[in-house]
Amino acid sequence: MRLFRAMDASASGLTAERLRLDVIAGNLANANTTRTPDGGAYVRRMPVFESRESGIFGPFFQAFSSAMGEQRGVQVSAIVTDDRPGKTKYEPGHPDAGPDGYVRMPNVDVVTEMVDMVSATRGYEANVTAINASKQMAMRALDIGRG
Amino acid sequence: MIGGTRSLLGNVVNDRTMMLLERGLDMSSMRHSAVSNNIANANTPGYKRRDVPFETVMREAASGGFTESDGMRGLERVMNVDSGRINRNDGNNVDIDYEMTLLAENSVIYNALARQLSQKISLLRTVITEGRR
Repeated sequence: MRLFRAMDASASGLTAERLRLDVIAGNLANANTTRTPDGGAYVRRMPVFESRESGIFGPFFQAFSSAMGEQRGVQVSAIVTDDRPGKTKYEPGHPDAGPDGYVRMPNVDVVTEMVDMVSATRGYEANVTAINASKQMAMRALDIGRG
Repeated sequence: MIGGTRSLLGNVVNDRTMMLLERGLDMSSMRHSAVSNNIANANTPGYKRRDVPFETVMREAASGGFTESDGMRGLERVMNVDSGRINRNDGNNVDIDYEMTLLAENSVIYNALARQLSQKISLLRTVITEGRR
């Protein structure tokens, strides 16, 4: 049933936005982390959103099926690292400071993360609204012919 | 007369109003699916929004453009990719406010159509049961 497919798409939206929120929370928590298992400062992570088309392989079939309306929401295809260099801070007493006295800080910009967080929250809410609309429409369809 | 009975029953269940209402519900649920997908992909870079031209297709259906045998397959080909709207920097053209409005509007239409169909059926039921009294 088409309404359930719509609900499925919205649910994938919820999953993706929640994962995005998780990643943002991780970035914010590590905004001042100068030490990681890989060595060096924490590197900002970001999720890559990809629209989930039908399971058929090949670009032609994918374009064809998406033109036919076979879309099934969104998915996070990868969580990639942001390789831009972070700021450096002059703090000679710091245990992670280099020989020149500068500490490499993470490339997390708190303001950017906060803005992304608001965007993710609103995206989540929009998907919740869509699910509620689907549910209410399905219930209305059940009432057809009841009297 | 068997043929007569069949055409009478055909007229009762498959009349024009019923057919249009069914088509409208199909279209509306399909549009809902498209809009839900757009909302889910509101943050996907490069995504282009999809839509169903509800009014155009219904007008076509009202003038007999669709036949019964077309069914849902006939409807699937009307879903189109809308690349006319303004792109954001990431190549995505979903305007979340527009989609939410469309969602609200569409579910009102769906509910209205479902209620109409309900009324139509209860009208038939009245006709069927009134004779008993």
